[in-house]
Amino acid sequence: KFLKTSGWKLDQASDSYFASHGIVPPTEKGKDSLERLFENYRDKGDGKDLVGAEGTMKYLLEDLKVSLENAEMFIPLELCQVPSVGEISKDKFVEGWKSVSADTIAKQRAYIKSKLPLLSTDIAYFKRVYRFVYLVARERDQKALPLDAATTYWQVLFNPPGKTFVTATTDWTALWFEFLQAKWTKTVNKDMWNQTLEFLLKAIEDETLSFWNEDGAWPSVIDDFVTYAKQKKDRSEQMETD
Amino acid sequence: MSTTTNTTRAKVIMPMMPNREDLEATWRYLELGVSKIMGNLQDGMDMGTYMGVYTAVHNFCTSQKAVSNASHGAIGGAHRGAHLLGEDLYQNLIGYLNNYLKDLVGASKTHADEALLTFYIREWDRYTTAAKYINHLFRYLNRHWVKREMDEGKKNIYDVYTLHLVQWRLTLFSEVHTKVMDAVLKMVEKQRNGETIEHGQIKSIVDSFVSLGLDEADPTKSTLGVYRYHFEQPFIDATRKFYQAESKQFVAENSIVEYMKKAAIRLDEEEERVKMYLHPDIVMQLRKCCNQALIADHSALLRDEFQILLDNDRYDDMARMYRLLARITDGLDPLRAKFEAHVRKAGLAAVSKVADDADKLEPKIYIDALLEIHTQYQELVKTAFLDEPEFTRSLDNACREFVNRNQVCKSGSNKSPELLAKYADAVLKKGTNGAEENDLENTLKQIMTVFKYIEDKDVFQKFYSRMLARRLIHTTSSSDDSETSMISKLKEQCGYEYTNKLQRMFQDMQISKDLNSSFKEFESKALDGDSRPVDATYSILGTGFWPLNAPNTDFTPPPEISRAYERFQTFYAQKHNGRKLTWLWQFCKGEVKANYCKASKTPFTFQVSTYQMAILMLFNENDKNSYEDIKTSTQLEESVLDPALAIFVKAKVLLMTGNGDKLGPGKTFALNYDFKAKKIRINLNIAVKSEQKAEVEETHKTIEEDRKLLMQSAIVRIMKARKKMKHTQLVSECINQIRTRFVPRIPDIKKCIDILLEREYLERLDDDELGYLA
Repeated sequence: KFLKTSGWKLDQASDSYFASHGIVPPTEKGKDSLERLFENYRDKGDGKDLVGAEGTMKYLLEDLKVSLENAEMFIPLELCQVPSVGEISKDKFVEGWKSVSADTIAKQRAYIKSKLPLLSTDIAYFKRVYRFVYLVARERDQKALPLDAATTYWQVLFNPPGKTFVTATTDWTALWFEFLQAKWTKTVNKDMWNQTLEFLLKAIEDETLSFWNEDGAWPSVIDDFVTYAKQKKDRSEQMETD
Repeated sequence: MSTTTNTTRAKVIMPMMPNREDLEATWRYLELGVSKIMGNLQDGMDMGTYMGVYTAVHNFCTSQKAVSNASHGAIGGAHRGAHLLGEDLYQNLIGYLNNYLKDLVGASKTHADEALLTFYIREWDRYTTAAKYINHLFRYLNRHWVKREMDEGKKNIYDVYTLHLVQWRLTLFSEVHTKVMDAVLKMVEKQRNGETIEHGQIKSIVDSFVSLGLDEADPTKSTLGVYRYHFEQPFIDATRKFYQAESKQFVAENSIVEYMKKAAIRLDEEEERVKMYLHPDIVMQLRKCCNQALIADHSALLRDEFQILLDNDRYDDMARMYRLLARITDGLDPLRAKFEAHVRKAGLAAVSKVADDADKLEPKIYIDALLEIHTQYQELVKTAFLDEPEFTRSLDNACREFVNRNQVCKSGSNKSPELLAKYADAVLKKGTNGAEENDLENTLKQIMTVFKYIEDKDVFQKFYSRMLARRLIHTTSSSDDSETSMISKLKEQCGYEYTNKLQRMFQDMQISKDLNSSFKEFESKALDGDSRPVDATYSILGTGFWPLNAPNTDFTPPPEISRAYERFQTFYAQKHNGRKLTWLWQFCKGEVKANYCKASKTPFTFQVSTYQMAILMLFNENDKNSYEDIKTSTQLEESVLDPALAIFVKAKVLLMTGNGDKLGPGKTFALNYDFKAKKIRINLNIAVKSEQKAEVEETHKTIEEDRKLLMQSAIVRIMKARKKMKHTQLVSECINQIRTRFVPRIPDIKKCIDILLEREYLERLDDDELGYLA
């Protein structure tokens, strides 16, 4: 059932399928080098075909030299479809990098560099990364994300080099956090996570929020947010006219 | 007219039969005969003349055929000859009629008004009668020449009778019809002003006008063309003018109510007029015209008056207005709107009159107030608006409004169903009113009337089932029949599911009865040595059907009771293996006899709850018990113990010693041997106010929970059937399914959808669509 909600995974999977089977000789070679590269990071304590937190950190920070403070780090993590933050599985690692023909650290760095500007410009790519983050951010046995964790991830994703949501009159991300602070106490479920991005994407297109209506399909939390935003706007307009 | 055609009273000498080939002579001969018929038909006509004329026509046509045949010898000449010569006769006849009618026109000029009508009718009768005879005489011409001409498709050739009518129309009618009509209209106006007229004349004119309508395409048929154009149209115009003027003046000088009476009479008169002397064809037109002039033109005034009539309960006048406005299109819509608003206002006013303090409001007063308004306006709809469905709907809308949204329901629309359920409880409880079976049934019907308008039917259900449970276990129900009747009424309105639990509760009671009697048998056998069995009845209630919770306090029943109930438990376990019995002590009650009192020879009987009983039993052993002792022996929570004790203290069954008045640890209680009371049987099992309130609140809370479940299950049900659905569609479908129970708010439904999304019953697809996850 997840296939549908994350249909993009299928595309990617088939991409790599064709990449590996279509042109066999060069990729086979890539596979070997990638497997070797992978083993570099594997600790003794880690499970078979799995790199743990320490190895991941080493890989990201020292070799790939990506920042862990911003959305950049999600580029390799998404590509390798890591099962959770701080874990990398071997087959996905190989598959992911092979699909973009990057079997050395240098090539991988170049790949990340090429993708970085796309986060804020290619909405489809950003959405893919964004939805992926929810899946890895979640504790394994939990369905929803605690609010503070969600907020942290949002902050990473919604700030450069991630996508920002600011229009002429409103900083939507800031308003969203303000609203959560004031009114929201529950956890963040998948629907809320996904719909938040959908809503923000629409909000920057039309900051009057005319696309929204009370009977629409938005989850209640978005409805509440709209009410909050409108009240705030009314108040500030009143102040201006006074 | 005359039936004396064949008499031979007077004889006009007819000349000799003319030569059959001589047109001049033949026509001269015929003209004589024709004028005789025209002018002196009443004198009759002898057979000879009749035959003479007939033969002359016949001879002329046939002979000429032969002659022309012989002289010209042209092929097909026979046909052509007869053709031409028949035409000569035909043309001569036209000429004759023309002259005759021109004379009549001249003569008509000397007449006017009624005299003109008389003249017209007399001449018309004479002319048409004559035409019939002449038609007979010229039958040969009709049969051959005319028929052939018509078969060939020639226009303006008619059989001789029709020819007469055509000529009348061309020559006479075109000259005099306006004057005739004027005379007619003058007469009608006279009649409208109250004079008597000879309406037969008008009828004759109508008939004449109708006869003149000839179908150009098929002369054998008549149309209403002439009549419509020359009679109906002017008539309608005149009528309109008359009523416009009259109604304007009347409205200016009289009240609307008077005007309505007048208009109604006028409308009836016009209907009558049509029946009396007009052609039925005019009905629609005339009605339309009158409706416009008498009603539609004044509809604004009428509608304004409606509010006044409503305010003053003028049923008859409203009925009159209804009948008038019903005649015009869309005439009643504004009335319905006003009526609805008025009823709503009246309802709200009635409620606010009784609703000074919503918390203390007596259910009966409230329901009576609602019913009174409903009854009053239902009566109005019945008498004044003839139970018209649209008005009934307006009434229903208004009632639904003021039943669900009024001053009492300010805090939420569930106050009305709550009060209604309480009222029902009061009605069905034993001994409250001692009403007759019949009255009770009527009251139940009234309850259903209000129930129909209740939107939050689930709230009523909750309260009703709680109170029914109470009535059943305390056996305070006034009659099983009435209870069943009420349940079947509810079932009829809301379906099986709505009353399912109520019915199960009933069944449980029935089963319990049987169970108790077989237990009595069992007990009498099993009773070895225990000399004092407690005489008890047990009710076995299915957990899922009864709105009752397990007790919220620990409790150790006194040994007397435990022995009894343990026996029952053994008995029940034998009968139904594996069933678990939970004792709802808080609903149990009993009676104890107080043999110790000095004041009375006959012992008092205390009606107490089981908790209270347990407390009193302790005094069998000791005359004094401390609060702490009581608490440890009974294991009761303070929240339950305190009120139970309080009643004893208040009733002076027990005497409390210790510092202060508050119940609690440190106090000691002693049996009061000097207890006095007026009655032998004393009810000490009194529910405490705060308990009742808590119960109401709890009921409301369970309602909220149930609603969430109901909405969620509706959503799941819908999605399961549809697999995929647009969000908005799902919401409206959900409202549809639930509306019979209560009216869900959209945000609440959305919250339920959120929950289901989170629980992964549903998933969000693209484009506002939701999918069902099996």
